[in-house]
Amino acid sequence: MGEITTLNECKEKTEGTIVEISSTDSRILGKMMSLGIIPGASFILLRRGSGVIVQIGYTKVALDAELAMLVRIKPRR
Amino acid sequence: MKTIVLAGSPNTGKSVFFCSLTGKYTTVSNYPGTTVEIFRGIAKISGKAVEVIDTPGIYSLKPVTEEEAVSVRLLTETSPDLILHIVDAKNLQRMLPLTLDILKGSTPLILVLNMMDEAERLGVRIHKKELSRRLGIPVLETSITKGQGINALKKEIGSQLSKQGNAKRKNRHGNLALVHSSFKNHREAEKLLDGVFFKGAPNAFKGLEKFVLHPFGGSVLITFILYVGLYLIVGRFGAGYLVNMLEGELFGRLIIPWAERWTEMYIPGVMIRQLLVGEFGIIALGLRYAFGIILPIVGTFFFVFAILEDSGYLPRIAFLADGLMKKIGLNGRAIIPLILGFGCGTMAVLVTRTLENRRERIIATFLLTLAVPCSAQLGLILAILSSEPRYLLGWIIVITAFFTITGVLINTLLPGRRTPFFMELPPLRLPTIKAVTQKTFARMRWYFSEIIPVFMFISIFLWLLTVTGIWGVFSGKLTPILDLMGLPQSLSTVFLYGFFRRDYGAAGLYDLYMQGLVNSVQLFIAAVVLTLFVPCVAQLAVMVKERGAVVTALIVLTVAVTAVIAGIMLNKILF
Ligand SMILES: Nc1nc2c(ncn2[C@@H]2O[C@H](COP(=O)(O)OP(=O)(O)OP(=O)(O)O)[C@@H](O)[C@H]2O)c(=O)[nH]1
Ligand SMILES: [Mg+2]
Repeated sequence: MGEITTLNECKEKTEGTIVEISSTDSRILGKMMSLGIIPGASFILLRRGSGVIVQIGYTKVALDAELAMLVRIKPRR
Repeated sequence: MKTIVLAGSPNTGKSVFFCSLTGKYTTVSNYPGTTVEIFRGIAKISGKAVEVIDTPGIYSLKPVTEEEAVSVRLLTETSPDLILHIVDAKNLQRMLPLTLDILKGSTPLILVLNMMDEAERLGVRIHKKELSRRLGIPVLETSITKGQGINALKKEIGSQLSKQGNAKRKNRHGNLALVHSSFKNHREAEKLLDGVFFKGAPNAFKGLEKFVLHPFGGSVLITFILYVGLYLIVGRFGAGYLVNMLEGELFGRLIIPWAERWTEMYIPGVMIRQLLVGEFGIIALGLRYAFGIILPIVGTFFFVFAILEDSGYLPRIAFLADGLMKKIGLNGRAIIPLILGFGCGTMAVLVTRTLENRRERIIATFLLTLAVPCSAQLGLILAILSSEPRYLLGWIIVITAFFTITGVLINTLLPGRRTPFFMELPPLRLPTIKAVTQKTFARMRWYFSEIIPVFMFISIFLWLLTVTGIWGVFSGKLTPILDLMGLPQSLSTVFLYGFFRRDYGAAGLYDLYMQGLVNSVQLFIAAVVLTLFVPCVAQLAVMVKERGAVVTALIVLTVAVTAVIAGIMLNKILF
């Protein structure tokens, strides 16, 4: 099991589980949740650029670094 | 009449379903946030007329953007007879929480699992009977674009509506807006789907999908699309070949000479003849510009654009452009209204609703007004300047520079801050010929219903100004300004058209160019000034409605001054 880090630190092809979203802003939490970014969900990081593209279930979501930094995750392996 | 509302997350097929129920077209595109206002239509269901309402997509009952707020208000503050919650079946897990929220209201609900074709291809299985039992509402499967499941759904709607009496219910949950999707809701949805929803194979990330998002491959693709789509199809084919055929051959050789002979024979008064076939006449100018010049360009543009929209490419561009957009106080999301602006600025200003805060909406509106040419302008400028590539390049550089510099400036000057970027990327889908042609024609019809009254007005207005002699005085007043920009007086008409319609301004410039009345440097300066110059009246009206009169006035003033200064500066540099 890997260390807990943020989505923004992950390399491409990283797989893992979302642990928490470190924000108290209900707008941000709401946005993330409705896109499937909720604690317990597993993800794959598809692409890194100035932000990231992650896949959760059948949904692909683009997030900028600012938001990716808030998503704390646990990589698999 | 009974009312049903189509609601759900963005990009789940609400608008396709609206079209198939009512036969009325509203834009369907493969990206979240296509519909930005409420559309109403009438459908025949079980022999009865029913009002159907299409709404902008929402992620939850807690709206983030303006167009979402419109839907949430409709769902929470009005009392329709039935709500259809339309979801993307493969993403049921994250869309079901919204169903639970809507269920807290008192309006009867049907859950529609759409895009079953894609879900099945991935091997997703859903026990809809059990789900329906657990939720206590009807659950139906559809693939609306394939026409599958629509009849069964219509039947269900009919029986739901006839079950209720005719008495109007009141929407019980006045403060539903407060019960937004919470974490608890997601857990509840998870439990409900246990033993009901079975995931299929993961959707692979490879091939085209990977290429499109590749930093290098992506840029190659954008360049290729700009070259083929804009330059070859719109510029060379639409503005070059088609305009030549329609304006040069059809109008120039057939319609206008014929109209001249006809009026000569049957219309006695010189004045009325002037109104029809004179310099600014309805036929000689209005109709010729509208159908000979603008139609082919706008048509080819809308065609190229429809393909882009339906492919699902635009949200990917938003991701790639996010870093750049942040330099001008926007985020990647704003690229969609800005790109739409190349089609029609009026449409684009409406779409700025999808931006998250007022500051972003103001910046985007400003840039749309100043530095984004609409399709007719762009096509004609490509056609006029392509004979002199260095001026075409110069035009691109100057406009890009104005876009960037004013963007950076306004970002530093305006108080406030941009919002972070997030966006759902829909699957890349192959655009269908039917959807693309339907959209192209629907947009052209809309476009022409907008411009025909305006061109009638311009023709009559200019005719009045000419016969009363006011025009001479007025264009005399414009001469010193034109002089400063090194432009001949004949361009004053062009600027006046440009004020009413950008596309007419560009068409006027094209006309002068064809008659050889302006040299290349003047063409270049005029092209720049006309591009930057104030928006057309239609866009102005939408701006006032969306941004308010004060902001609009400030934007227009800044834009007009900037355009004139640009012209004067270029003239100083080039002469
Ligand atoms: N494969 C497949 N595609 C579908 C189906 N229904 C809709 N689509 C596609 O999904 C995309 C979105 O459709 P729209 O009707 O614009 O979605 P919407 O829910 O109105 O979206 P917003 O207006 O953004 O809220 C379009 O590209 C449609 O062609 C379906 O059953 N199967
Ligand atoms: Mg829609």
